[in-house]
Amino acid sequence: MQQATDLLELSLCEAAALVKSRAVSPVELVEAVLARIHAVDGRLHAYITVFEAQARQVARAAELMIAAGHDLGPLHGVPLAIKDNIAVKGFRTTAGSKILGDAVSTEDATVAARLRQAGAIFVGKLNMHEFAWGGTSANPHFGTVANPWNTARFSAGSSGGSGAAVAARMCFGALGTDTGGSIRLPAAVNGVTGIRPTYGRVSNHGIVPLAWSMDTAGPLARSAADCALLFDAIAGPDRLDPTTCEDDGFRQRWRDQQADVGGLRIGVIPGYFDRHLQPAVQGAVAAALRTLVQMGARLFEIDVPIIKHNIAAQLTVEAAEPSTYHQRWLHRRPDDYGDDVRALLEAGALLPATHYLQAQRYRSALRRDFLAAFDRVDVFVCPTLPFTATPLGATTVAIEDGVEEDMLAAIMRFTGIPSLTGLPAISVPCGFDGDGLPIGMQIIGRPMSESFLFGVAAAYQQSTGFHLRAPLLQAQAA
Amino acid sequence: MADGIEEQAGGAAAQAANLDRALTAEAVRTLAAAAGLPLAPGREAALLPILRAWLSGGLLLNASMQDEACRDLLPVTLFRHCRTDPGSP
Repeated sequence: MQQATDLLELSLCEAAALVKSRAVSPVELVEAVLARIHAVDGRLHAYITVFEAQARQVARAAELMIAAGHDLGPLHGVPLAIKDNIAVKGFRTTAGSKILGDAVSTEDATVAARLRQAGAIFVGKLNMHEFAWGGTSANPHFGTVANPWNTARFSAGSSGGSGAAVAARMCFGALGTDTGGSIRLPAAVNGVTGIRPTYGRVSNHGIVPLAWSMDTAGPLARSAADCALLFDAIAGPDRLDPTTCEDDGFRQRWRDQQADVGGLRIGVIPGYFDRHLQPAVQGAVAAALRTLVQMGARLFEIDVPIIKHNIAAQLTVEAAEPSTYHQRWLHRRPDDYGDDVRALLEAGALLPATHYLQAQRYRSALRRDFLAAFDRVDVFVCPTLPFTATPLGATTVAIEDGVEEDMLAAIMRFTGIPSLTGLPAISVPCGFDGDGLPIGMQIIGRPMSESFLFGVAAAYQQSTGFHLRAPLLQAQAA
Repeated sequence: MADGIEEQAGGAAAQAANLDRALTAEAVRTLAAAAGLPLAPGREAALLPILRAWLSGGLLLNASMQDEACRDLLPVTLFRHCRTDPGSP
């Protein structure tokens, strides 16, 4: 038997392979993860609910099945965690809120059901920004999620618990949801990998919505290869979600995909992608681009003049749609929301319909310009966000010259672009700032190009070691 | 989005300045009444800075979207016709 701490350093792909070869038992993996949660989550607040008894029970069953030669699938016996706006049958799905604090799910969300079918073991539900409407995961009901690299800093959001849990080795992979950046932002500031899929590529059935026209679900894990394994399990059409796309054979294409960037054409947008960044972020992404060029990629400057309006459009859509969904509770239970989310929902209810529709028309224009640019480039590369993890509780951030600006608008400067256009985007670790805080790089691809993005990200990760570093988070004294 | 855009941007800037003056606590209450939003007393202070930021950004976006080059753009919507829809072949 391996030491529990050694088991936690396994990647998701390695853990899955060792279970299949019977070198490691699902029981060992689950016990190691539960011990880690007990040891460090008191400081991180990444979990809302831990399925301790059920996870152990399922692990024993998984162990018996694999011993009997019955392999459930590619995730057989691997402990995973689920963001708490995604339904898991028999457990509450709070969406990080008081309003849904006692709402026990009667069925799995499609993504949870698919992970289960692939053999995964759920160890719990993860903390998040209340109703996913915010980027800090400062949750007034379940505690503020802290960053494992520095517990005085935030884990971003809204899938902050997912990012922190993966980074702190409290699961081998997690599901998050992403409307304006909620997978990619916590992936970046926690030093892990996360992908926002093409809109419609992954079912939203059974997930508490934020903004219907931009909501997606996707994996966070330690590497692109780990994310690909999770994505493979959850992607595909779902008759319960009419926005999902037809099956296009992702599995086959990912298996065939080479981790190679030779000849890759990378688009950059001068004056936007390289401006208004903390110096460490600018330096890390510039270095990552140099690395990719040394590996055989070529850079192309692309002009997208209308990109400057993307934050206004993002905020308008992301404000109006949640305020519509939340009308019933906002009218009857306004005091049950946290202060920040209540204010955002109330303000969103007052936006003119013309603003919303112009923002939706702008999305068509931005998508048109990006699709046209994909005739000349294969991917776009930019920072995931302009800054590294901010102090817990901060609502503003200083990016340049000490000038404080609103966190919500600043944090979506780059992640809003794929959200508005429906394009897939992956965030990968690309460096650390002077305080040892992780920096993320976003790679944006064509619609349905997830397998290609995984290949590019995997190639980068084979040449760099940023994704292999772990936070030095000491276990708490008992 | 080329000719006339500066003029539109100037117009939007004037609109933003006008918005700043017009968006008072009383205006927020009026908007809430029009939207059917039951706003508790004193909530205007929490909403004013958010609305100023969002509406001024929206006005600039509106101005750019009035350009002739945007005339044929359709808004992004969620409608998708599926084979499982009733009446589908």
